[in-house]
Amino acid sequence: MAVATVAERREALTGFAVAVFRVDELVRAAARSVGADGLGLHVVDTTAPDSASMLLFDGGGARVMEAMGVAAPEGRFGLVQTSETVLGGRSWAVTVFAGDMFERAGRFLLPYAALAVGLIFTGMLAAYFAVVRGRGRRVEALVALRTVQLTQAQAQLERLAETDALTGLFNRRGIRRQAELELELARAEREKRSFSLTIADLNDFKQVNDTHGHNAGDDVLRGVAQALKEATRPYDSLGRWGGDEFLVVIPGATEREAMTVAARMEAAVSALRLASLGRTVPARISVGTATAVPGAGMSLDALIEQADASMYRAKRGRKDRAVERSGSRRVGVETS
Amino acid sequence: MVVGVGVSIVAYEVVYARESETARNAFEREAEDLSQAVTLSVREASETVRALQNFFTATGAPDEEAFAIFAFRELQAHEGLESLEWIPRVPAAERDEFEAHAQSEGQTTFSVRVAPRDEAQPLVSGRQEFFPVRFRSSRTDSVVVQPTVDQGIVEAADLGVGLGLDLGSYAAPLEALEQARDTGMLIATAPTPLVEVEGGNWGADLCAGLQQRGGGIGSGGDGGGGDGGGAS
Repeated sequence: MAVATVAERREALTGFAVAVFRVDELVRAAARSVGADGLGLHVVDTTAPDSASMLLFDGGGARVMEAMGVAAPEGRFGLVQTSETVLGGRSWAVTVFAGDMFERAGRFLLPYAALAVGLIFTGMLAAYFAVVRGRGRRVEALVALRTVQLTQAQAQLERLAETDALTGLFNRRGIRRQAELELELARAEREKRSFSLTIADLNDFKQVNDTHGHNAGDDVLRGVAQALKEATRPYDSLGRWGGDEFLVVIPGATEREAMTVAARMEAAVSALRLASLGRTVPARISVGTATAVPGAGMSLDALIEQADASMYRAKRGRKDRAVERSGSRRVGVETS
Repeated sequence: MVVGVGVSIVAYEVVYARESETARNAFEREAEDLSQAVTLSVREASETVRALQNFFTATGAPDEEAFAIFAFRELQAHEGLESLEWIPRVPAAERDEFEAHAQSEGQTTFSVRVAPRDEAQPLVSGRQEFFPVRFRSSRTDSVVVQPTVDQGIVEAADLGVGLGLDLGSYAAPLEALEQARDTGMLIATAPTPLVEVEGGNWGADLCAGLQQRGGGIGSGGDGGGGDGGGAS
């Protein structure tokens, strides 16, 4: 007999077959069968407004969450898909969303890899330019250092060019430049001051070389140079004028003062006790002086010439006088 | 330097957009698979109840041992299935006779028990028929599946394994049973937390009415229409 109406069904009812399901396990088994790693699953019974909702998977791996009244997550990168299924007249909204594991499953590594490669390449390029720039700076510094060294070497050369290698005194070029002879003479003329110089010449120096050898001669020159240096004032300029001649420039000195300096020079040399190869080597000098006075209009060469002449006179008469002043003709206001 | 960083960022954006599209396609594919798997799992749940319904139709007078064998097989086959129950309809006038019959078949302490009153879920009173659990096989005997929290807590020890408990004394299950009876369809209760010894899970009862042998059930049913059922 077919049961068609509700009344007939109620009359024919003998009982019920009932199955109790674990809803979470029902859905979980389905998820396991698919093996969708990284996907979250949210189930809500939408039949009634206050129906239960469950977050069964959060998409974070094996961890399972179950909670009442949990809203469906938005999903990573907004990846969400909702479908509806019906069980026993009740509707279930099944929401699948992308969880953390979905992102970590290697799907988004490539963009970061591209970014990393780009940044690394940029960094390497920047490092390369930094190295090149640094190398340029080092080259510039090296050039500057070399320039300084070159300048120092040039200065050294100039010093050597103006220095007598044997005695360490200025040579002719050096004393001319150091003493600024031309300028000094002009300044003395302008300021109406006296300007004196002396020339000393070793006596019998050729005999010293011939008798004791050139090394002994060199020793004599060095010794005399040292003695003259000690006999002159710090602001006097002393130099080897050539051969065995020495020139002393005495700015502002009168003839008398020049004579005093000359006498001191002669005395200093005479006091020398030079020895070479075990023998005493005699050293004597003849000194001539010349003094320019204001208004005389004397040139430097003329003054040197007078000092030279005075020195030769002293040399000729050295038995009596070792020091001679200029006097062959009048020089300024002083007379011989 | 700035150009290099800029080019890197642009490259990142381009690759990111491409990867996002790829990921979106992959997600849609996997989400579709998952949704279909859930639908299939739900459909299998419905088929299990239909199978139980057919079991009673085929066997006529239910036999506890045959029920246990059938239930064991179903429980093994479906992970989400917690228990299977036979709930006979017992008119109030036949209650004593029913209890005596059950006791004579070995359930010596069997009695139709009405759950205690609960404020949150008023009991149905004044009923002329009862729907006690007569046979029941569960995945674990330690789990008491009825009543649910919302339907009034009853200590597991008091219920044994739930035999004799009158489902009709609760409003929500009774509503589902009556709807299944009147429509001939499978009717489910709303998911509610199961009362368990430990942990917490969500359960739903899926009910199918059993009719006297030869009685057909009208059209309708869960997704695939209601199957007819006969009863002893």
